[in-house]
Amino acid sequence: MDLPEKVNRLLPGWIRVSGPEGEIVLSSRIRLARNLRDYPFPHYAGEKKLEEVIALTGKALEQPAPDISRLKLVRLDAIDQLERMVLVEKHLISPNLVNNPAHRGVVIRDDECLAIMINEEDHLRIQTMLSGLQLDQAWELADRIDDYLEATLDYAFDEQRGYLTACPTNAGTGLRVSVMVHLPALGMVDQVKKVLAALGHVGLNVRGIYGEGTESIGNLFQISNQVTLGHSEEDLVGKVVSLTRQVVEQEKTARQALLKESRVQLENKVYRAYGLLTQSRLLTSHEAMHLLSDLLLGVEAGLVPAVRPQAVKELFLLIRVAILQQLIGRELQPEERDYYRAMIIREHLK
Amino acid sequence: MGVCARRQKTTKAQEGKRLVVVCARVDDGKTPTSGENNEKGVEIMWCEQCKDRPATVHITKVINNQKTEKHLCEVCAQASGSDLGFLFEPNFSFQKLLAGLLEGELGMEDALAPSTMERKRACPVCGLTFTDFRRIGRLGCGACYTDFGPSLDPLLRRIHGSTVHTGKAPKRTGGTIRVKKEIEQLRKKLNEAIKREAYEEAAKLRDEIRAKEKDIDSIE
Repeated sequence: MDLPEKVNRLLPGWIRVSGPEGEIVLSSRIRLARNLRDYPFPHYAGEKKLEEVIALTGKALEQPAPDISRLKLVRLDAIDQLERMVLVEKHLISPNLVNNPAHRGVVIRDDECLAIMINEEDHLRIQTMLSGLQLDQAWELADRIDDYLEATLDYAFDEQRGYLTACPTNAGTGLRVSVMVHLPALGMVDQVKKVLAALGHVGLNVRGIYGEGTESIGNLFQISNQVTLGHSEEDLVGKVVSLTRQVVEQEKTARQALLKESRVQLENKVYRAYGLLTQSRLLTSHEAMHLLSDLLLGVEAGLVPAVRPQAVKELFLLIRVAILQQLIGRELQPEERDYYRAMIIREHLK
Repeated sequence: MGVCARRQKTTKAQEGKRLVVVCARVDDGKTPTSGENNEKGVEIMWCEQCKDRPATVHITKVINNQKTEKHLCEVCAQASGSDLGFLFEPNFSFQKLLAGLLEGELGMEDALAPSTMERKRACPVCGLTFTDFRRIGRLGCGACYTDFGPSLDPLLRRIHGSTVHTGKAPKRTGGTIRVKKEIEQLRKKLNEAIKREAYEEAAKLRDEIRAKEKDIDSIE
């Protein structure tokens, strides 16, 4: 198999198309935490109970339904560490699941827009991912899958406290609504912290995509709801959508201001990034992320017509360590990774 | 994913006319290098003061929008604790944060903290005690919510600002909550119909509401 074909196979369905507000919102995500009644939560359950949860979930998936035919249950102890890390990098499972693969599983739909983690912090974590700002659609899909599973599984539910979760911070709806946004212009005009702090004041969580608490790399941020109890799912989704729209407007204004007032500086930054990305023979992950962020800003502003915006967004994923090794087909030493990372970037930007 | 909260503590204080916010985060001193896995995917950040031990305490202090950041090891952080305007606890963790929320340690007075007897009581279904919950930060099973109910409510209120779920309910096992919500929606429609003087429609809606109320009675 040649490289472009391998890349094509590896990319999740949602990343290949640009969604609404796709120039700023890279993806929309919904997560529902669910637990089975009469079973201790995973951290407090023995091997036998954990296995029963996997078996019951597998059985629930045997029910016929339109969306379900393309689902596959993968046991994490049945695949190797590299394959597990690839799933983490594609955001299909959490690092938690990798640290503890025995008696854990994940159900994945073939387009990778839907994944259900089994025996993570909660028995089931239903997750849906779509391109751009499509939280309503992602919620509809998750809601439908939830109904489908509930047709055969007895959930731990309480009329007053809603869906019961291992950690009280998720109780109620068990819903986490999030978007991944790219905010390079707000970063350049030094406004990003102000905008993000404002989101914190209205009850949203904001963090850099890579590493909690650390500064963001590549101007990528995740915005999500903090509270899960006391509001309906539609309200929680609506709140994140409307606040994301405001952030999008701020970023658009900042981009226009940059184009108008500092066009030469912006062009310089973008073309330098383009030059380095298409000519370098060694690129660290950190450097590549910064350069891809600069290039994406330029591509979205129409400064680099030769490059598809989607190709740059795909590279944010393709240059990650496990995915990179999967593409090359073997384990790579750190210095080798920088070489192959540069190669893949050059190929993908052609 | 999976992580309930940052191991972080924020304190706010009014010093004269200044608003001082101090935020402290404690970790293992390793920073993930951009999701990169080389050498186990981490980079060690060293203490700013002694430059000898990993910086595991990250303190952000904001005084009237002036932000200062410090990255220290535990030894130096403890030494400069008073200087930073807050008392440093070496084993600060998410669990302690939860415990703090439960007992009002974060400056919120609370008379609702569970008594010693309540803390020792175990959930009859899974055996987890309230003390266990405070240590691990997670409940043992769905029944814990009922068993520890009164002790949990103050915590839920502090986390979510509410103790009552108003969202979705399972179709099969959700009890009457789904029907109750449907009735609520129908009532809204009924009021609108009356306002529009659409009395025929209103009569239909009223009958529907009555039928659903009967359903609830028969279930309950």
